Amino acid sequence: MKYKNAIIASLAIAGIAAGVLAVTAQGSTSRLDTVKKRGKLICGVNATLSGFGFLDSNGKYSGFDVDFCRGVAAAVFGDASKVDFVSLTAAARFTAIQSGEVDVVFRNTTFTSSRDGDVGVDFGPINFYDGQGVMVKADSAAKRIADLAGATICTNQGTTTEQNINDYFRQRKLQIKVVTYQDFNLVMAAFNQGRCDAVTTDSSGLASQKATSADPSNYRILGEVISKEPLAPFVAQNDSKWRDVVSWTVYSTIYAEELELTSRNIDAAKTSTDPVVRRFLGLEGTSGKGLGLSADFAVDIIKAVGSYKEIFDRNLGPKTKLNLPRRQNANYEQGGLLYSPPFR
Amino acid sequence: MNSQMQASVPFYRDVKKLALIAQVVFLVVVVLLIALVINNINLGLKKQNLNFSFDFLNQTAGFQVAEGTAFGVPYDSSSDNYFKVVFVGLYNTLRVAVTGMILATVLGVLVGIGRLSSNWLVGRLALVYVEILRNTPVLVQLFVWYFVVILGLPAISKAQPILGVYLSNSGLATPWLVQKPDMPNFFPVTIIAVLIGLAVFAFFSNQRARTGKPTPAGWYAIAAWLLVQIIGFFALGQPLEYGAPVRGNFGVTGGLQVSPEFTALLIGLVVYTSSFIAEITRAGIQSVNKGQTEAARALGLGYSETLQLIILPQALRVMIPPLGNQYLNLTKNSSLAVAIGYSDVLNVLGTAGNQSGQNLQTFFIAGIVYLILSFTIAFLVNLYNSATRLRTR
Amino acid sequence: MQKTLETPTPRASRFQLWAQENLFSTPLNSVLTALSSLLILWVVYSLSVWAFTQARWAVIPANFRLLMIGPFPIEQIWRVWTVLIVVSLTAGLHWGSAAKGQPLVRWPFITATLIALFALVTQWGFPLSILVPTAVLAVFAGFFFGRAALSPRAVNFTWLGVFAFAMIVLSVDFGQGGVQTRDWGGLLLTMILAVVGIVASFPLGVALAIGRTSQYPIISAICTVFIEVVRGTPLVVVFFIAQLFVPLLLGGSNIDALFRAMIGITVFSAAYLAENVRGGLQSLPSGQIEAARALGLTGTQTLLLIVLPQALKAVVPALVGQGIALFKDTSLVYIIGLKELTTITNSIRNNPNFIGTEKELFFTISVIYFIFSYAMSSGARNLEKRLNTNR
Repeated sequence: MKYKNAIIASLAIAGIAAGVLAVTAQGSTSRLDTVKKRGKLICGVNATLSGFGFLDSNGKYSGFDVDFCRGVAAAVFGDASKVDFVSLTAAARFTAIQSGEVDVVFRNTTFTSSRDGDVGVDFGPINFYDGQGVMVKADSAAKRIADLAGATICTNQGTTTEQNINDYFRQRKLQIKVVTYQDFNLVMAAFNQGRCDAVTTDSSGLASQKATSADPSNYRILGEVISKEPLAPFVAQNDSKWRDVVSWTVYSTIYAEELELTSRNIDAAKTSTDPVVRRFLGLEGTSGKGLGLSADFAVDIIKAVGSYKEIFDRNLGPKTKLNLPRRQNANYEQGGLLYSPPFR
Repeated sequence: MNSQMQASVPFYRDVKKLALIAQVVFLVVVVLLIALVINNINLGLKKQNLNFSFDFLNQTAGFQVAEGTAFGVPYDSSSDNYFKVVFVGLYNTLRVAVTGMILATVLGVLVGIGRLSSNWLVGRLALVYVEILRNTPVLVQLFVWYFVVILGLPAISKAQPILGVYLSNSGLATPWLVQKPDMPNFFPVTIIAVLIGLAVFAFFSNQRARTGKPTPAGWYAIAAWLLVQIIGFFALGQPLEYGAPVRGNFGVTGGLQVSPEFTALLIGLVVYTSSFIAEITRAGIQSVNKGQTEAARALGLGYSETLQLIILPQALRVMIPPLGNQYLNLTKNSSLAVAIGYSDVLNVLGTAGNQSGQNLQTFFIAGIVYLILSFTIAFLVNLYNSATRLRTR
Repeated sequence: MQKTLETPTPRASRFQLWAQENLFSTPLNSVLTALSSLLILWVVYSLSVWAFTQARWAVIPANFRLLMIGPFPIEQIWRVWTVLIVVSLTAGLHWGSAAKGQPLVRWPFITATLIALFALVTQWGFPLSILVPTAVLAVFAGFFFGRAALSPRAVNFTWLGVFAFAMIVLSVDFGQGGVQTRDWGGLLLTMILAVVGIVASFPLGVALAIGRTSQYPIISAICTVFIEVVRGTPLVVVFFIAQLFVPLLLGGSNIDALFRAMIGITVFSAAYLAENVRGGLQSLPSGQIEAARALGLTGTQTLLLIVLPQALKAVVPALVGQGIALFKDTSLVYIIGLKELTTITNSIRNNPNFIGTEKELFFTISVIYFIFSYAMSSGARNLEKRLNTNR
């Protein structure tokens, strides 16, 4: 009897103490403050997709998404080198944000309603408009995607492509087999060894895989695109201060292209009398301060990584192996979809 | 109160009370920790607008599962929900684990006997087998089986059928009795038949042990199993038909198809586990008193008779607990399926978590599923162990 | 003729006798011998055909650094070398102190010297051809010093110091930038994970074992539940849960992925270790405890001075087995994307220049894993023998 009382009492004490401890364990600050305090940005990227995010043998990251990470670092610190990269698989990218392991993820990620809603992340502006494609071996009989009825198609786990490819064939009442692997390395390995008749992912990803293979003429990308894949950066949910920083970093690069500013001419532009340019450079107005950044954060970004055009051309453009056309990723003035809200 | 003496001992010197206090303190700390963990997880979830609910299990899954059949019922990605997906994965896990346990035991016992062979070369060979397999990671072995051995087979377009059987890097396709689409599910019949077969075997071997009359229990069991299968086949209105693999544009269709992922995982797990079972067998045999062998040989029993009738039954008693551990390990190692694209329960739960955004819940379910599997195996092993325990009087 | 039969050359005769007894004693044995020989011939033949004519071994030297240290920054590589030389020295000390009073075995010296000479003569480039011989020299120096002046116990404590030293040297910023743990990779990361796992899981495992065998029902029940739940879960699931839940339960704070993996592997290994230690605790005759208490030792003293030393000694083989299992299990962090040996291998094999080299790569890393595991198990066998002779 006495023992029982003692146990119940101790349980009560434990409960109260736990409550007190848990309350003290929490505090809410924006990620922006965390990043500033740390003195370094931690950015989640792909490590295996040449052109977007790629880790070379010397341990250096490069690519389109990697440059945007540098841009964010430049916006926060005025120094694009203050960034550490973490390579993430498709399946691990959301948990990396949820767990707070990384501050922001630029990893060719499709912006969807369920990810915005259920997954617990918030997306920034779309920085690349893509669509899902299918790649076969050059000697494959398939000319169109529908020719692949009965085929085995490989893709990686944790992507929108799994459902897209299933929907596409289901709609046409055709059967396929889908084999999914942990990461795209394994998908390509299985494809090269003949386990799958085709692989599917974003068209840009296929172009990258093809361009960087030992012999690109071994592969053929089928002409159709079966889905919308707007790729965007994302951050943890309910932190609009931090999301604003990421968003306006992306917008800065787009806006710079609209204003025809580049990393080379941005210093000279400081003498400009155009109020639009002067506001963008932080010479007028207070947009930088409101975002929790320096007044001339856009200058830091453009000096470090250049305008959207420069980033695109450097990583994906005609002078690179990938040689992707701008198409919908051109600025709206050239008939593309890129459009930045004004800096004012 | 019962005595004056107890009252005179202060509580900090009373061993009984001290023990109680120690336990209560420990309990408090543990409860505190658990409360803290739960509370912090809740707060962390709230911070990110997530809730820990399992409602998503009712949503339509909408993604394909390679080898998507659970207990004879095909999985339909357009209408089935996440809950069904978990069962498909669980079935795939059970398939590879149960087959793996049986094959690993057979192979392991053979290699274990080989380790003790009087033939020097066989003994050395078994030793090398055991040492190589035990000293390299099972994950690397799985990669080798999958990417080097199985995917190294000729492509299906170049594979030549042998007696209608295709063996290629798309797996094994063989003529088989396959389920007709609109007929009753034949799978439960097979399960019942196997159970009845096992029961018949247990009954007759028990009788043999009691009466000492030689009874071919194994043959009776096989006969019973076949009989139930045949009766079930006709009772359900012949729900199976002969199907042979046919080469199409891409791979083959029809017949029984065994995927390369399943094959690689099965071989990998069987071979890896067999090396441990071999060592258990060796230790088991060595634990049997040498006098037993000598007595059996003196009675005129041959080598294989001595082994089968005298040594192994006695060795088995020593072997069962560690053997049970190996079965557990094999089942848990089957979770490495995710590395080679086999749709086991962890793999489909991973996909489900990614598609629905409910990663926490899916891994929570994964943990529960494996705990249930582990405890079931442990329970069955204990049951068997106590049934075959040496009864000392 | 007659004469040669009477006095055959002793070697041939011994071999014949031996073969008769061990290979051809019965018809069945002869058949088995023949089959085994065929199998061995076939394996050796196809392996050597592959190794000498088909294999593209160039993939190994080309990616040697990746395999060894992963994406570790090249300008910081002095950290790895420093640690390697210190570890070599300590290994030498350990070996030397263990070989105290025993005759000198020559062949390890000869092999090591040959490796050092090979490194000097062949063109491995600057750091390797100087530093590999330095490491070999460090082993030698350690050996002779340890043999002359050190007790094995002293060396065991040295290891703990070396461990702390290595962790600091491999990461801390000394003014020119530190190294992030996410830049650790390859064999280096495999070793770090294994060592941290073994070192950290040991006290936790022993504590759990003592808790489980404790006479207090509450403590025993809690420890039992913990051990059984962890043992019933696959390591991969433990890793996933550690990745997801650990940051959440720390209030959403930022915590290193590697650290989470270390927590996972430590907890997992501790549960297994606890069961091994429990076997040792239960094998101890109760007279030991009674005698200790009768001599006036307190409960804690009895545990630390009487019970644990004997219990641990009894389960040394099982503990080493657990260590080997843990070493092999480090490969599973591939699933959560840490860049250890297995992960690095998979990324190299997708490098466009090296597609189709999976055989060479998997063969190489299997050999690496084998060498370390086998060394541990044969070390355990020696240790077992030594402990036995003490009785």
